[in-house]
Amino acid sequence: MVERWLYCEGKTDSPVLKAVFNALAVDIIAESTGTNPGKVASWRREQGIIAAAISDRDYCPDSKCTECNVAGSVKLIWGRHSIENYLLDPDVLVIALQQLKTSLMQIPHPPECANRLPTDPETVRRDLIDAGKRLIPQESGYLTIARLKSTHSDPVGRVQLRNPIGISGDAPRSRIDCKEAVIKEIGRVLDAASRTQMLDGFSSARVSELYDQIDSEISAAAFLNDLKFLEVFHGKRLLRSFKEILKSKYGFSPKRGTLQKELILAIETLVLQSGDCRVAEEPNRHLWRCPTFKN
Amino acid sequence: MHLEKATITDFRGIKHCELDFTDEFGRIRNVVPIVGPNTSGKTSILDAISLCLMPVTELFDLPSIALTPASIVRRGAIQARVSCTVRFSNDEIDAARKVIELVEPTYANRFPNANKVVVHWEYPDRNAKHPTGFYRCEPRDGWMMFRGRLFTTRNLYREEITPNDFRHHGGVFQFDQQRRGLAKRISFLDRQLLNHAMDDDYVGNDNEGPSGFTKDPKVILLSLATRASAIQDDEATQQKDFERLKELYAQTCRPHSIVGLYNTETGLDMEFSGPNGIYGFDGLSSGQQMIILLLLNFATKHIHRSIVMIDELELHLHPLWQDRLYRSLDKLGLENQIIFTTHSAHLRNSIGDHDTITTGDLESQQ
Repeated sequence: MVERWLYCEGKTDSPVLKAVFNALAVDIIAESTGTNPGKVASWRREQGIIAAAISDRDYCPDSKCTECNVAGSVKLIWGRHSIENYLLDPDVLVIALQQLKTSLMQIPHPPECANRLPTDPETVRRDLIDAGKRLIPQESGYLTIARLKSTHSDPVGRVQLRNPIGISGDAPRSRIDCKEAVIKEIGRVLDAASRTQMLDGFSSARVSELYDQIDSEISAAAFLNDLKFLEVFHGKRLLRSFKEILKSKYGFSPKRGTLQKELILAIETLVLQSGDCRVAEEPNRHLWRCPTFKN
Repeated sequence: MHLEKATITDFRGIKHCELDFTDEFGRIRNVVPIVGPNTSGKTSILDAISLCLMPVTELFDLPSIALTPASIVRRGAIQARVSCTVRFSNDEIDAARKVIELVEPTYANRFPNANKVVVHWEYPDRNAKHPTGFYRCEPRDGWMMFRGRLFTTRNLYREEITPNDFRHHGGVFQFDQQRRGLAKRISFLDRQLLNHAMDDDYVGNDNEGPSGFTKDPKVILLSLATRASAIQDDEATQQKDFERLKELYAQTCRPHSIVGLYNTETGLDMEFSGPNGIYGFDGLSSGQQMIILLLLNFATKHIHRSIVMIDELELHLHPLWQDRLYRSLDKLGLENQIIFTTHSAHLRNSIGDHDTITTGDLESQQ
């Protein structure tokens, strides 16, 4: 038997990958490395072991994602922001909530909220869109910074762009606050870089315009209804936002680990039912059949 | 039966620890890993739970745990105390009540109306009356809920009771690092068929009639397979058990699988297949033997709805097989609760921290 290893980033990635590989009867060993799985995979390949790595997409543009996810590549990137974005697929959510409801109803004193849990696909989909909507102002901010980073790879002299302070956290933020936080961050960069060079793209007016443009892009009905935000938005924040919806709307407040465990079980059930890996594979359709793993 | 809570005080190196085996909604966690460095008390937790609960079931299957004050009670303490809260499903309660009404009708009206029982164990007994320690149940007659399996075992000769009934009665089982405790009664017919494979472990004697017990996994596997192939109505359980064993073996040890019985010049043997061809039982690797031992234990003891404790689940297994065995745990029997210890970082990575009981880290020991 030839060993084939797939290194991934976070603590959640490897249990999900293991569940999927098990359901598909694929002999690949998934292992979390924390950060930089690509380096670990390269080091293992130097030892003669078949290994590849898969990293979070984060806010990478489509072009970079397509460039990395080619057949034979050792360093792959998830098609969605991170593994949580796959866990939040509506099909997975429906199965997880159904399983949760069934198991909660079996305990001696089931919590009242168990009966209220949504299990019909349309309601779950709507709740997921609501969870996405709550994040639009923040995500516009993060995406603005990401787009500026990608268009100006070495933006202003040697000063790095950071995620703006003031838009993180779980509480919903207003558009004005988030936009101001982004402009403030750009101001910091410009101040620090004034001694080196000045770029047009970094003026407050331009950043504000870009923020508004991204905001209208990701607020568009088509973007939300087609669940495009599942690819782009930050997965962990989206999961937290969905948890908030479950709490405020249904009085159901599971711990993150409990919800995550149910979602992983659901993804395994879904893969077993469908016999393929639609959720995890799309749009990383090259991943499981990647020539890296063919030997 | 499923373990809900355990409190351990002054047991070996453990001063006091409270363990919760439920999630925030009160659901029982069916697979609970216990992780921690050597000497942090992982095996002691398993032993404490076993010593508290196994004697209440009266199905003594304890692995070799020395029961002396010096080996059980923490240095400086007078007595070790363990309390376990065990929850029973309605199905288990109904089945236990039914079998008690059938075999011990005088007890039937005392059967408790509860779905959980707290068992307290104190060792040594303050009054020096009970050599294995003092046991107390809350409610008082709660012990009856633990005896369904015992009464079923003792009354299998009755028409109303069949091996299928084991599916409704849980027990408490512990597998130590050698996975000892495997034993099976071998019938006269099987003994004739498998005579060539019997070794010194066979303990049948004239007093026991034509059958006896063996601890040899090969003989037990062959016996299970011969029974399954010569299926009769009342032995349907054995066929299901063997089929389940084959299926789980194939899942865990893929691409290796159990082919079935075959005749050799010296007698029956079990045929296995792998990428390099066909081989017999003696060709199994140590990892395969570990898997077979675990599966045989589950099959021969009909372990369902039970609390099962496994010390060092990953023994002899490559990370890929560790993953597969971990993923198969919930299929080893019906609705079992598996509590296992592990040192494997890979296995720990497969499980969320949320579900893991940590007994300490290396830094805290330094």
